[in-house]
Amino acid sequence: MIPRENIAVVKMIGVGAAGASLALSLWLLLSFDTANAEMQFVQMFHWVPALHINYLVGVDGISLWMVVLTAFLGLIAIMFSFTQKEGLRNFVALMLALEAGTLGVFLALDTILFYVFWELMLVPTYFLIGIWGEGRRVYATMKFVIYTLVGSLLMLVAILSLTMIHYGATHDVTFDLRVLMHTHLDPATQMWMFFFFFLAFAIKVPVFPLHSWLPHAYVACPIPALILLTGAMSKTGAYGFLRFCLPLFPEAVESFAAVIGVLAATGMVYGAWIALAQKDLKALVAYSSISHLGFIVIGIFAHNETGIEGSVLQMVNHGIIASALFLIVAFIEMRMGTRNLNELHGLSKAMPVLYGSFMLIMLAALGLPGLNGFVGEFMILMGVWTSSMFSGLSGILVLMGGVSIVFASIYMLYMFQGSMQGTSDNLPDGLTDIDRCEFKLILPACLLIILIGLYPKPFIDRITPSVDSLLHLEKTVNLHAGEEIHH
Amino acid sequence: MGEQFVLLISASIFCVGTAGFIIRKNPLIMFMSVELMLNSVNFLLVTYSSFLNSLDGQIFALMIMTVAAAEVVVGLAIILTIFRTRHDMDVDHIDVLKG
Amino acid sequence: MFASSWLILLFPLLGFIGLSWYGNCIPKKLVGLVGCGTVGASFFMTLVTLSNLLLLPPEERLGQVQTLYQWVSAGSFKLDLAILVDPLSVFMFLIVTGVGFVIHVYSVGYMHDDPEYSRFFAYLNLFIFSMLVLVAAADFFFLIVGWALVGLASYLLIGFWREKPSAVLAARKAFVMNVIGDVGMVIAAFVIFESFGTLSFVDVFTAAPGMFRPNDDTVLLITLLLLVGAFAKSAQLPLHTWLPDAMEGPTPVSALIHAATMVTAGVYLIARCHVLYELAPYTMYFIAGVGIITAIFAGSMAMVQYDIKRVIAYSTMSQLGYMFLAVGLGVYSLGMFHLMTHAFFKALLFLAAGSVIHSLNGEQDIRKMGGLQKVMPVTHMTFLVGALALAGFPLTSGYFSKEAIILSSYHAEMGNIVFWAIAVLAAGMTAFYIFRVYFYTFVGGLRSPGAHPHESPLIMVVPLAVLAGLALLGGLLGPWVDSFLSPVFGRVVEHHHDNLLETIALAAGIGGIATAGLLYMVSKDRMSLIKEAMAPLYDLLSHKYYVDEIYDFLIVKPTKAIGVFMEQKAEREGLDFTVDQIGLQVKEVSRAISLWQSGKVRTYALNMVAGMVTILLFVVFM
Repeated sequence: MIPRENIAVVKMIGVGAAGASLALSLWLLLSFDTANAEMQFVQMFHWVPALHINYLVGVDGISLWMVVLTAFLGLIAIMFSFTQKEGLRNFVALMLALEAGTLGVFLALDTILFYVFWELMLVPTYFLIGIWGEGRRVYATMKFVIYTLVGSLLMLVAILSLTMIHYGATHDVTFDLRVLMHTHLDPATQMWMFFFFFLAFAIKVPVFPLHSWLPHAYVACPIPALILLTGAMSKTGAYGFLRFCLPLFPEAVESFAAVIGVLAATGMVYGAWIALAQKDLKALVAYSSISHLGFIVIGIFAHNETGIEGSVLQMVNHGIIASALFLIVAFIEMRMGTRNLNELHGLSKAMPVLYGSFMLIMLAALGLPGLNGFVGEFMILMGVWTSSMFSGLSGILVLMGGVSIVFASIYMLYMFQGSMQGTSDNLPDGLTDIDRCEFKLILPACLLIILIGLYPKPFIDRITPSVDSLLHLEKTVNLHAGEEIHH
Repeated sequence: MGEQFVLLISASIFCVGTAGFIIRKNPLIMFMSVELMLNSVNFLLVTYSSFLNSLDGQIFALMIMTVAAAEVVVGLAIILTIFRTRHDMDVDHIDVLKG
Repeated sequence: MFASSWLILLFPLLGFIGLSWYGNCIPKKLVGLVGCGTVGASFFMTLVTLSNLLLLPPEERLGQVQTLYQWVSAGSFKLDLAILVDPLSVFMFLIVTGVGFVIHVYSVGYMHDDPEYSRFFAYLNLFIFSMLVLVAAADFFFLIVGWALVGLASYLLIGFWREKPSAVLAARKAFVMNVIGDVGMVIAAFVIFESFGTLSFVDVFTAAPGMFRPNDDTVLLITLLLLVGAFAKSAQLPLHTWLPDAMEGPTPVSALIHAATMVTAGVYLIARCHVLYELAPYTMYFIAGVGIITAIFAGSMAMVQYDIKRVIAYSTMSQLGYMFLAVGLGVYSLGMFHLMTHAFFKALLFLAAGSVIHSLNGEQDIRKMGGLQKVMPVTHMTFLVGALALAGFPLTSGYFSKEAIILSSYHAEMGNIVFWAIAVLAAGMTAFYIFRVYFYTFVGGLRSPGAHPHESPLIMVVPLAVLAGLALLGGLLGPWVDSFLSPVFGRVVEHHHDNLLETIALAAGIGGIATAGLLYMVSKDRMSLIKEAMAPLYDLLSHKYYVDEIYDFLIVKPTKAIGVFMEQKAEREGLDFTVDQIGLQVKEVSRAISLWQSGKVRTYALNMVAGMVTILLFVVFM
């Protein structure tokens, strides 16, 4: 409805909408009851009454941070997307849609609603990569969409079966996750349902070896969209593990945790190792993301408080760090016209501010103690070490984590030193440091990196009750597929 | 006339229609074959309507005739258009919709 | 009473933040003033803390934990942000802030002409802060935080001249090696947490003796994992290769970080965790062994280097080996004492070398120096004092600490004649190589004609003099150090007297000095002869035992190659290919199926009829 030319209005609406959701999420954060493990701020509207599908949303300590993170990154991403030259109106609209979808995933408590939002994320991403992307964008976006769809359709099957099995036993049609959570399924059913859910989430995260869409999609994706993609959307998979897999299928989780742990740890080392061989900054960060997301997954399946809380914190951390790194890559590319490490060197002289922020973010990414990345990684690895889920493999998994941390320090330094240090001869004339606006985009991330590193307690405190109740979930309804009600 | 006789006639007309539809290559003849099949059913409907003393069958027959008429209008128009553009009436050559 | 000890950490942190934000906007003089002032203030606060501590009776000086706030609480994992004030940490505070302050003052002169003067001081302050975090930490977590932060500061300062490719590489090498150590420590922290349910020093050390029998697997694992960190940080074999390369940084950095403070963190760690180490005699033996091997290994390499800073760097490694020997033998306070004297005389040597380099406009090759004693009298005198102390010349500080360690290597509980013999041999080497440098640099005639050496400005000379005084007289503090630290270690070190061994050790030191004098003063022309006679050995030494090359060949190259290989084979031709193939195969199959749609109406009709007949048959006959 807005004329294409009216950039100012587009900007105003974009920032207004994203800003409003950030403001609301901050209000949520402030009025969140820390001690309460239940879902809070629950809202329900009947949506498809015939099938008992409702618009049912709420937050607990886990989704709270995801919502805040998404809203935060959404605002930054939209402000940064104003650097897009063509089709800004559609771009901003799609970005807002993506943000809405992601927020919906984190908020939904109705399984069908969750699925709808889950698919809703896909549509804008498809166009964002397909239209505004670079390189093999069509190939990348097709690969991404098809890959994700395969997983999510299986998830739909599992969602529907879950409700049907529940109905078969209680004669009560419900898609309310809070009700379904307390049902106990027999192990065989758990296995296949877990597998369906797991596949959907594992593709989204992604877990090794289902990650092959990621490098293509990330490299092709325009950076503003990439901020939401890597910062918020990749967390939906990990969030799905926490929200669905762990409470619904505890026995399946127990029997598969070791396998998943090995996959995640392999992904950690594998991603880091391949990142070592990258010349393209964007690809390097993409592969480092695979490595870091492996940490998050392994922490979740460590299935103890330290591990899961570390994972949730690390989701926030990775969201901040990875998107900040991509911003830095964008800043460099905008100035130098290249992201290739072979062609970059000695930028620090011309760009002291970028140098400083890049250094801080890079250090957080390689897990320097005292910054936020380390808190998460330390807790995750400690959770893995003390976990009883990995049947004697804990030591090896932690060691693999250690190897990937060492690799992280190598590739991060390689990236940082390669582009920032070294001789500053023959830099292009008129090379400018990041300006005030760009600095303001990156500054909140830097502050959060330091804040979480110095004082993680307020963040963890809000996660703790929810994780606690997740781990000690009472199964009040005992269900066996096809049998009568057991109480 | 017994029911069997009616059924037999209807079935044979239907089979003639089917065979004609499959064997002939001229779309007009094929059209007529389709009409034959439809009318064999109509015949059955009408006869049974009088056997069962119910008007339902006749109403249905009328309905089918109406639909068939509409079908012919559209179908003939399509055939005419194809002939005008391709000057060729062999249905085996009209296969642009193949996968 | 000790809450004010937080100020010790706070000042350098404020200095770092202030200088890194506003460093470019304020005049140079103020930068220097802030840089030194913050460290000076923390030194003053350290003195206040020290006096508070001394007011307490010895047994109450332990376990003064100062908690700032609860840092995290996740399940059973609870952690406070806290510092531990006890004799050991205050002792380290004294060295870090004291020597640190002197070196800061020196840097004001040394870095005066550098365009990034303020960045340098910001980093130096960051280093002091990190080092204080390391030694003040009251639990393993913040120990690791400090541990990694000093690694960061060291990285930043080694690579301070960021346009110099060799400095950038050296910085990266140092950082990665230290991360390896960090990972070891992190895993050690996990084992500790699993066993004790806490990371706090006080709790762990109280519980440990009751929990483990000597040489239990767990305690061996903990101590060995901690050692990975200690060896990486203190450049012990086999994680030593970064230290010589670290000399790419400015000289005050080498003096502060790579001689006086950071590299001794490993020794501090073992002393701090002595309760655990005493439960693991095997590990102790291992530490002593690695220490003594490093001492002789590094000493031998130092004998043939021509870069003045590298010689001193190898000497640092060698002296650290002595400290590890001492703590490995269980004579912790001797190790700490040597740590202190070493901080004095090694910082002095580096700063004096820096003064020489400064006056020769960056020349570091001792073959191009010579005869500087006339033009740089103060530098010359102070260097000589440092060299004598390092060589263990009687009545200098090094004499007291080193002799005591050498003597303990035989007389201590785990000591034996082999340790002693190697220690004496290494002492001889030490004396030899440092006087080789001395004779090359200060005696004879200047060998680079274009240079115009001059004495350094007062602001550099005064710190030299102060350190020279400490290096000369620091030995007198020995008994005080022992009694001050005895509450921490729970005992006073026995003092052995063995005139024979002492004399031999002393003779080795003086013999080393004499040999150097003989070779480089008297019979210079015969040098090449000796070199030829010992060519293979010389070659081996001057190539640093080819360790760098071996690591490159065994670790670095394969890692890179595997990375490239995996990207090519596993990623592109493996996973990507598989997934793409699945897509392509689905496409192929659907193309095959789509042939059924021939477009021929009559075929469709035939199929329909056939289908209908089939269904009919099915319905009728089934």
